[in-house]
Amino acid sequence: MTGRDFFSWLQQQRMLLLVFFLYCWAWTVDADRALAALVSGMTLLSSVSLLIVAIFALVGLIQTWIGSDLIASVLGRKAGIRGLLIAVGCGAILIGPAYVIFPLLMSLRKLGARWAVVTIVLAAYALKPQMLPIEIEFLGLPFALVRAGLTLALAIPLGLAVEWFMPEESDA
Amino acid sequence: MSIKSIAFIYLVLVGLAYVWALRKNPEKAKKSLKTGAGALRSLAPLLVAIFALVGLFQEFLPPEMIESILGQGNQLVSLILGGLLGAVSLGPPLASYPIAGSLLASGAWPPAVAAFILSWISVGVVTMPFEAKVFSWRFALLRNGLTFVGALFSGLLLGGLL
Repeated sequence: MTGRDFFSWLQQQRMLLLVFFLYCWAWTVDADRALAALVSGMTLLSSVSLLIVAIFALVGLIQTWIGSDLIASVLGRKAGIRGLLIAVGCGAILIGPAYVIFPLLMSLRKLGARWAVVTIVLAAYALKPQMLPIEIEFLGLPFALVRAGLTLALAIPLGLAVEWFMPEESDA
Repeated sequence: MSIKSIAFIYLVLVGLAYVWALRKNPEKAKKSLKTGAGALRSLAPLLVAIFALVGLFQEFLPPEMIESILGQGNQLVSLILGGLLGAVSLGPPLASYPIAGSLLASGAWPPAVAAFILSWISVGVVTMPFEAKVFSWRFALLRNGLTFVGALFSGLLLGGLL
């Protein structure tokens, strides 16, 4: 690896370096807590690692098998309100942490899905229907139902607002 | 549903899709695997960094600290703090419900608690570098910023409707 390659590698891994320096700082503040933080973070990573592998395998399938014409007609601008409603439905039923599906959504975006669809899926993702019984248990039925209703109602306006601010040239 | 069960469901479904793909066109199926593996390889260091950062937040911003900050008197301040604390927290929603429940029980302003939960689930400050790497900084900042404003607005609406 030449000096330039190493510098370029360092630049690509700047987040990793930043976190490394944060840990150095945490270590000087409280070494035990810094170690506990590292163990906690890596335990969480190992718990979602299989899910991450599955998602990236799916990303590969989508990019290779699904044509951009199909995505553009179902989730692109041509699909109109139907595409936005499909996004709400998809976001509401998807499970797992949101960050895991970022690459999946970007692969759909590259194939022609509009920015509003990407945002709506992430917004409706907060519905968490599988968690509603637990939410009701802790916060009561009215709180959980109104929160779920607001999450769904705001998903499409939020998606359209984000899309409005995104540059035209990067839109499919 | 535990994260392991969710991973298992995803793995089975994706595995079945690959079996179908292999039967249909083995070369294309191998290309899919290579594409997915390449994308994972390029993002793996960032994922390690993000999860290490999550660990730091969990250790240095424990639930007791969130409770003590959100239990303040000023409503507007507690609404914004609720949204901000939810935004920097990361974890399953399951972890946010007991905190929110105890806040409501101790008399916290419902809109602030609602903003905290909504922000916890949909705004991700810690995962923003990953979101930016995948989509772009412009999208990540816009989505998280507008979702944060939406969480505060929903919190106020929810407080008014209850």
